[in-house]
Amino acid sequence: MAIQIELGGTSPQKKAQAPAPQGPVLGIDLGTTNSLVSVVQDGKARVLFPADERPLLPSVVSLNDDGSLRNVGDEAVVERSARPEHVLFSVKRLMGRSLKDLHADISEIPYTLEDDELGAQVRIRVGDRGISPVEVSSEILKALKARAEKALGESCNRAVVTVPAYFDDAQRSATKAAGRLAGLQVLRVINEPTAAALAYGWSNENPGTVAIFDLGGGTFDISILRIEPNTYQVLSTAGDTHLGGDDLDRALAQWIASKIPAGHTLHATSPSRLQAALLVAAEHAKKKLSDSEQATALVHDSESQTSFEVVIQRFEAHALWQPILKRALECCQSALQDARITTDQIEEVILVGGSTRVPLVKKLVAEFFGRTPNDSLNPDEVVSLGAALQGEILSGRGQDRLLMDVVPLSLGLETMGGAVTKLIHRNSGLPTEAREVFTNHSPEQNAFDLHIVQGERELAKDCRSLARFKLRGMSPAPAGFHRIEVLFRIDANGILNVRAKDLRLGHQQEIEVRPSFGISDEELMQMLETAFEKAEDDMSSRQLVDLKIEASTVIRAAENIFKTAGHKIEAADAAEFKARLVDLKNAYHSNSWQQLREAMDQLEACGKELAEIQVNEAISQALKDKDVSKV
Amino acid sequence: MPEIRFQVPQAYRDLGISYFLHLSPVAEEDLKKHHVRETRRLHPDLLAIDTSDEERELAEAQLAALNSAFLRLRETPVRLDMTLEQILENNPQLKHSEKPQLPRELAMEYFELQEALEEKPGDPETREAIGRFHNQVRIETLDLGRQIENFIASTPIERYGDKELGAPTEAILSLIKLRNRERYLRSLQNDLENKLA
Repeated sequence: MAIQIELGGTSPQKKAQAPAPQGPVLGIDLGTTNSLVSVVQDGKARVLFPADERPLLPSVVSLNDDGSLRNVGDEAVVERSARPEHVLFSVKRLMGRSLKDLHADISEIPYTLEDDELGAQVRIRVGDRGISPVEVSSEILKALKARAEKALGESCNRAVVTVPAYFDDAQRSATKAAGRLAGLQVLRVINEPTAAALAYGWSNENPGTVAIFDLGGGTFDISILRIEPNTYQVLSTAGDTHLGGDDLDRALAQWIASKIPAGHTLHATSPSRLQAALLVAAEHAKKKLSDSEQATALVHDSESQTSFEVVIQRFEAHALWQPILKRALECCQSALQDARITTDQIEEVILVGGSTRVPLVKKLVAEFFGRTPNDSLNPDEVVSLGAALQGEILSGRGQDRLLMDVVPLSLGLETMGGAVTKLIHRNSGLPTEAREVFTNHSPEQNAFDLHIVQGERELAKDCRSLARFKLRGMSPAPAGFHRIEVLFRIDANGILNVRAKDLRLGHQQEIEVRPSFGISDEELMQMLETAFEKAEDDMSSRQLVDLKIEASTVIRAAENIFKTAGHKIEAADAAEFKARLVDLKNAYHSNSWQQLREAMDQLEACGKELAEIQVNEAISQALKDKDVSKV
Repeated sequence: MPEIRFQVPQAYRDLGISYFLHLSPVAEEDLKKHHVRETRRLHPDLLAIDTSDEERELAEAQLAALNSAFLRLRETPVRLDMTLEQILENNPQLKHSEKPQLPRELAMEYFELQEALEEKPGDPETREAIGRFHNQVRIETLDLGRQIENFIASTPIERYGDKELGAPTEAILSLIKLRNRERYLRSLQNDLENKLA
């Protein structure tokens, strides 16, 4: 469901053909804590893993001091407390995120984070290298692909990858990019709870309304589905991308830390190593508490050979976790409302995700829905099995089964004053669309800026910026003449297409739609592929494109202003302005960022007087018919 | 009983619904079934592998329109307004049947509060009085909504072929009146909320 931006004029986009029915399609659950790969054989989905290993591959990657790959999975986990800065875990939380997005979330991550040059995506600093979460995830995917190929004895290069339903566009695009970087063609990115429902419904054809409660390592999703023979319809989905087992561990780690007496030798350990040791201790204690009333948390620092032990009772842990889990129940409430049903209309509540093993989770879910939840599915495996089943559908072997999914987050347009007008409401079925008509406010206006945001908040600044577009190419015409209809369509893959046409002129005039911000999947891939050898060139060429877009606006504005006010300034100044304008046009074609920037600055400096004249005239024009005393 | 004839609203016909959607909540169930059936017909995952690009594009456009309309049409007030609009279009003589008015006792209080607010903006007592009044309007609006629902459920609608419908004149007139009044009260409610904000 990645929403990427495709550009379109008025001509229809070429659609990718459904893949020919051949070769396996892997179902991959790329989890915060653990990942799995499955495949469908003879109509049955099963997890693929080496005979001497566990089905789960820990989503942990360790690196050498120079940033090169060392280990993936269990071997990397072992290194965690000894080399905290080099062992990367919970990277899923960083996907498609900048430092600004992560705010408080990173205080307890022992490795070092920094923003990339665009400020769009964090990087992990290891030695001299900055590594993107996409690269780390692609290493996990490569390991899964290798597992599958070994088990099946054939090469696998197509996959369906799952993401939390509540992942936004940037997070989905990053996930897709990781797949491609790992050499996988990602046929579709599907929502984890939907995948779980598919796995549940495939073998359980009882029609009914079910809730999938999916609490994983780092994310929480709730989806309400209507299951009918051959049709799995998502009615609503809600969630929190910052709520999961990690949060339970952190709360417990904090509690354990508070019990370490002042002056204990552990306090001499480096903060990042102590934090890593605390998290390991907390995770063990959490698992123990699922089966027993109390657990011993053992904090051990291997370097100084010091340790600390404390016993925690289940009820004490539950008191720490209750406020965190309450947030999950609030999401459930909102999902029910959106599906327009009440808890008594839910026939089954299905638990998914390793964190639903925590007894308190089961208890709270049972209380909220008024029924004992179904924990019979393997909460770790069901998502990847569902992904493999969706792969089966997409390769034409689904026997008429259909998954009807929804848009998880509303899509809106920024309007005057930074407010948001909803274009497409969350939980609308896919594909879906919205149309808006724009008109020109003055004869000079030949372009519009559109800012598309994703989220439920009322102000654009509180939503996530998805893309900025410029509609251009309008011919000069009286104010209100043009009627530009913009079509926003999200297709079954969740790809947003924006097309525009002038209703007044029909197809005679093509309106150009171009993004001036926002990174598409393709661009992201390109950036990654070139990241190693020519990081610098890549960046400067992107900056050049951005600057050229800006320059073309400046040139047009300068020409307009000169036409209307050029005769009102000194002839020498006018000549100077004209010369600078010619310089800028030359610089535009020179393809040098530096030259273009300088030319723009110079034109701007000598155009100040002209701009003032125009502003003053506009004001006096506006005041002409008004009573001055009222101004 | 005299009867008013009108067409099936265009929005339904656009979605390929030739029959009339009831205004009552029963319609939501009908609509849901239609939605699933049409999705199965148009969804790209179920199209035959040899479907041409043009046909895929067309199916996607149809399904996208259906999905976006479905969210709106499942709201009873939206369907009601659509139907009433269609009735007025086919029967222009009904257009000026009644102008919505604020009930007299509400009007008196509203104007008094308006005056008080202009004299002493921000006066806590006035704000409190507006709050009380807002609540009163809200209750009245909800009550009207219930009346409308009951009315819809008891209004018999006849089908004439695929496109034409008929309903008792008296019932339609009352429905228009109630709905206008509800809308009027709703805008009053918004106005009061703005004053309080």
